[in-house]
Amino acid sequence: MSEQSQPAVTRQLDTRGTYCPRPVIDTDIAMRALAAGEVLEVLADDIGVKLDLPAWCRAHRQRLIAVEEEGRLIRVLIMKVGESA
Amino acid sequence: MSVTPRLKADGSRVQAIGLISGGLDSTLAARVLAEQGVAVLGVNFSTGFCRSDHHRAMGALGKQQDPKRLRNEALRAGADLEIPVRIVDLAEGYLDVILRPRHGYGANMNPCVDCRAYMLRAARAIMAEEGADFVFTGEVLGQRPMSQHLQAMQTIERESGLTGLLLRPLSARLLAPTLPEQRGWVDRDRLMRIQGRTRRLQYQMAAAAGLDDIPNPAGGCCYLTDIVYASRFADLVLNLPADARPTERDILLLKVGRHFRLTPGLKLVVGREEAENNFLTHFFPEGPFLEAPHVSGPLGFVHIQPGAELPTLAQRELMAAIIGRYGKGRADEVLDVEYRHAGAAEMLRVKPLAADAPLDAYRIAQHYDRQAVRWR
Repeated sequence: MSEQSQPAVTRQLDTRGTYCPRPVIDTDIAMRALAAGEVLEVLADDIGVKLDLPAWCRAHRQRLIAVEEEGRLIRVLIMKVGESA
Repeated sequence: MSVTPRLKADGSRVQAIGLISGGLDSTLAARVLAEQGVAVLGVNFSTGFCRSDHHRAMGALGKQQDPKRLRNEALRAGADLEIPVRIVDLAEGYLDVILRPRHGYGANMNPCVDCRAYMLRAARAIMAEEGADFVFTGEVLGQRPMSQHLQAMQTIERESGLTGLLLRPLSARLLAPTLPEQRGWVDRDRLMRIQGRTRRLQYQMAAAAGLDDIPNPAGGCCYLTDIVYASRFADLVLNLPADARPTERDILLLKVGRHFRLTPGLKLVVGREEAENNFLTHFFPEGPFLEAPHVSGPLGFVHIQPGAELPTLAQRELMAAIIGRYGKGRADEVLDVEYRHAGAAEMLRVKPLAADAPLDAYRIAQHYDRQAVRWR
């Protein structure tokens, strides 16, 4: 998905400098606070995030919009589509 | 997986909280219940002693890793089964479980019975928060010598406060019926009767379910079962002042490098590869560090216990000579090793220790008094 077509970010979560499982724990907590249709942007430098957050989205049935990498920076966009445990 | 939701007498859906590691047994246990229409929320507890988490951190710090070692298996299982898995930080309070286990240790510093009870108490709290009906695990009767024999499983159930509400779907038909079975929240006839250490039946179940990407269960994930790590942990605890407790950073340091104990308050940790050097500078940026600037070689981190004396010149030179032993300058007659601390740098000129120089006096012995650790 191109940058132009990405939805507006509702909240940003900067997890840089933390490693598994902290980025996932913080993403989970942040997603629970969002309303349906809102978008979380996660910034990370733990390369495991590239696997974890797509898996988290599948398990929690939330919409993964993008996983982008620029140098060591990983940027993940997730849209909340409904309540998940 | 498309199933008919399983409902209670009041019409609400049956909900269960499951301890999910992402290994074979917990994945299958979750699937057995999900197939019955139970709404499953997986929880995966992080204690800070998980090898997988460390492999992932090392991958992020530059170590080449098999991509499978970088993934979180609990989340992978959740994605495969389409059940939500929540990772929960349980590190705070876990030190008490290790230092004061009511039921003792396994082969090393692993307090398996107390650990399971601790995790299940946390799962019980989540059950209450979520309004769920019971808790389940992937435990198999007779599979692990310390925590999965009948008496231990009963103890764990009792001490977790989950009497009657702890279901082990893989061995359920070998155990007394739980409340979820008695009340019809789950169908006991569709639960399993697996016991023992072989996982033949589990592999058959996994194959039948198309679950072909589950990690090999051998080895486990817990650092406390590892004799090298456990020895370092015991060394850490036994060298602390009587009124001190290990910090999170103290414990983090045990996962990397070669460890040399010089005094109760002074330890040298030598990185074994670039990723470990990166680990040391990332998590312990304040140093002090030792490094030979003109040849490639390891980074040494000097762990000084709060309140302990700073290393003497003789100790700094000894540590520099140890650093020299593991670098490209090991054959040099004289090697420059820089000692960096608090914004200052000191160049030490030392002869690297010979490869056969005795270091046993400083190495951390792989035998220790577990009872002395236990009652600290």
